[in-house]
Amino acid sequence: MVFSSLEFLYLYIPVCLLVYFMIPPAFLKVRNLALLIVSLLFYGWSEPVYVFIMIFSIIVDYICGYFVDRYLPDNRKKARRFVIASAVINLSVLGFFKYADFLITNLAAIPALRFLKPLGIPLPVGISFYTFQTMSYTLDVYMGHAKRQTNIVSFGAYVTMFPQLIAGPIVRYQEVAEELRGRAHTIPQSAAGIRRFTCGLCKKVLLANPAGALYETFAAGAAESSTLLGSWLGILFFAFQIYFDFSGYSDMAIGLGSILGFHFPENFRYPYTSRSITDFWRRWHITLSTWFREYVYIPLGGNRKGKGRTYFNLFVVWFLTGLWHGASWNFIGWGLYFCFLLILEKAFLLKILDRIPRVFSHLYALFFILIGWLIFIACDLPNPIAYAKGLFVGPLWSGTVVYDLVRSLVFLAILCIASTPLPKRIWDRLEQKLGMHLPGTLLCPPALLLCTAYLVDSSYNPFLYFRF
Amino acid sequence: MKRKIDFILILTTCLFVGVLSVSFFLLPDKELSEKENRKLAGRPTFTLSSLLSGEYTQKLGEYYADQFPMRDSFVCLKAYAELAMGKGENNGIIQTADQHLIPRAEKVNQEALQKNITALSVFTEASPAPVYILPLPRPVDVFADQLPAWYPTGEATAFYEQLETLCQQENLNFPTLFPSLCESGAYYHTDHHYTTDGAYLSYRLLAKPLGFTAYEQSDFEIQTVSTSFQGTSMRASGFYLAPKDTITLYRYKQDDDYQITAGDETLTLTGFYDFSKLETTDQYAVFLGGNHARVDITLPEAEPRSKLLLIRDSFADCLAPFLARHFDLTLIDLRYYKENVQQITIEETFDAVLIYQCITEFDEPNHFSYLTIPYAKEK
Repeated sequence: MVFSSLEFLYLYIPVCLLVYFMIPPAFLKVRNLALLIVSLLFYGWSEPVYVFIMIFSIIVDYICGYFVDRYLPDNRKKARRFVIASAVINLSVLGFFKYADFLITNLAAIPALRFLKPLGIPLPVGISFYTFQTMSYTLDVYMGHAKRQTNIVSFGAYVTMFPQLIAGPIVRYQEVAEELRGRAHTIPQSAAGIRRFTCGLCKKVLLANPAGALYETFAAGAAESSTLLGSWLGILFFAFQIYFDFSGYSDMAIGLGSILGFHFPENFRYPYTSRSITDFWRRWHITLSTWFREYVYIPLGGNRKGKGRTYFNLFVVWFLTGLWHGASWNFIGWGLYFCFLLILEKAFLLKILDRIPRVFSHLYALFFILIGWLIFIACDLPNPIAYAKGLFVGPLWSGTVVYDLVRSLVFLAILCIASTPLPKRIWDRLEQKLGMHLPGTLLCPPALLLCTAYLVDSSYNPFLYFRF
Repeated sequence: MKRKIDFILILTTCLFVGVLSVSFFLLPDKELSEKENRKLAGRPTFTLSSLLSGEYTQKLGEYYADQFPMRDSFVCLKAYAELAMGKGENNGIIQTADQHLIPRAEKVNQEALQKNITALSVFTEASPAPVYILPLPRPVDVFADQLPAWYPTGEATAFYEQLETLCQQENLNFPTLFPSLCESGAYYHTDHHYTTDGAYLSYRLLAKPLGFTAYEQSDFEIQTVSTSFQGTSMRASGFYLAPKDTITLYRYKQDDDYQITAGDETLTLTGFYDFSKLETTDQYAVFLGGNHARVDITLPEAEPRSKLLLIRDSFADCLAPFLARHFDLTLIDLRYYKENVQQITIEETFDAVLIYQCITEFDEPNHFSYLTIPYAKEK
């Protein structure tokens, strides 16, 4: 089930919150149990069989955590073994489901191994997110960032928690450890949650989906007869689609978390306003970068072991970041592309970017971000090389491209403004002036109505007896 | 006050969500959607295997969306929200300033077009009777002057010019009637078909190439049978508030005398019309009762008349009553006819063959291949 579906909004959420809030606040453990059960239902809705992988994950990490905690004070080595066990098991599960076929198809390219056939196992939804989350638990206990969770139900609730289960943010255990033991459910917090959720839903349904449709329009047009304008608009709309899709999901997760009494970390901070790639990665998918920094980069020595080692560590982190996004070479290429740019910036570019006028540093960052997206979507394009070529050579525009641009100008302007901090700034100032959350209270219901209209429409399927 | 405002938000959200989620269970399931002209998904039956495969929950999702309260109103709201954002169209249907709904022209499929022209050329060469080709314009050609300022009308008309050139290269009979049909403006606002006025105009234009004297407009009794027609463009677009169209019929005295058969079945029509179709969503089917693979129209007890074969699509349903006054007609719809058309032109003696199709059929993959290859073999 996805957040942007009618059955989630009007069937799952009401039932789930009704059950949750009918349990008196004093019985927090029962609330955690309810959260675990509804989350398993949520996951089972789209992956009925794979629920068991998740339960397996919970048990493994709960046990590993137990032993890490037990051996930590006087036998660090032994404790470490359980951390490794947890990491190996989690990564094996992830590796088997996500990367086995990638490995097999690559190995099959070797003549002697041509007999290897892909397994064709469907990927469990959200597995990349939740395996990283559960791993953070044993790691946090080992590193002393958090205490062991003694209650397996509460631990299960953390692993399966439906708001961030399938698309992040990746919540490290240390960030919610306290709230699993005790949290407040207040009216201002719930109201803030509703506002945040609605904002995320609007991003996903009203911005990301239509932007995606335009991306497909322009990409299909570019595949038939490539134009400079059309090709750039194609990746531009993809950039908006992926940003509003992803950050919309994060907003919805944070909003739902807030209703349930949790504070989830922020995941995006206006990434398209970056002035360098270094800046971009501080603003894009923050929880993933944090995860890799905390559990890979720093344990490897970070930048404390000399220049060569730093570059090597960066390489490892960005290779893994690329691979995490998908089991395909273009994602690895995408990660290494950013690694290369980041190293260049570290070496000398950042100093230059700081000195030149802002316009140029923004343009620099946007240009390389967009080229990055081109690498990201390469596998979805019928002919990525031709598409890349079309960005720089060929006819400037065509009548169809201009028409489609003109009719989406207002929408494009909305997308651009929505990617900047401006709307939030105006919103906050308005609330401050009024001294209350009146705008949200007034705007949320109509926004929900409009989102519902777009969601209903996405299943609109008129039967037309002709073939226009 | 601050707390109160927050509380009001929680309350209104719960109310909004609650009302919709409860009314889903209170409202009875609908079987058909009139607006979408299709069957809606029903409650899926539960089996353990369908649950484990994920099929059950997927179907439950479809069922939920199909039976969602006020479905039509939500679809309509989205359509007009798109307009409000200045997009000028929804689901590929443009709404013009005077509320004509016009499907956008699709990119021409060059490969399919070439193949179709070759097939037409092979067919024409082998045909004992002369073959005429009349492509019919799309609304996007007819209402070109009403389209948004930036709409690339040139790209749309280029299709017709290319078709004309290709036909001339292959020495195909291609009367240049298309532009005159465009000028007429005789198309529905909410449907992709022409009106009966449009059909009459094309009938007059055919008089010269087919060699008959057309009747004057005053020779018909023009009858309005519907003022509530909303066609395919309205359905596809979700612009449910578009003004309704009027359907008129050009009746004449003897139009009840014709014998109309579809395959082995004799159609019971009033004149050429099936008035029961006016009660359905698809009101255009009033003409000849809708789509049939083959229709034969003859005038019993008359002097032997010239025979005309129409290779046609739904546009011909509306034209047939006019031509029937001059010819015995055989109407073949290539989308449904599954036998060799070439064979009929040899076995049954026709005086002329008219390819009477909307221009979009000319780049439909393999559309005219079926003229020479039996449909069944291809499948």
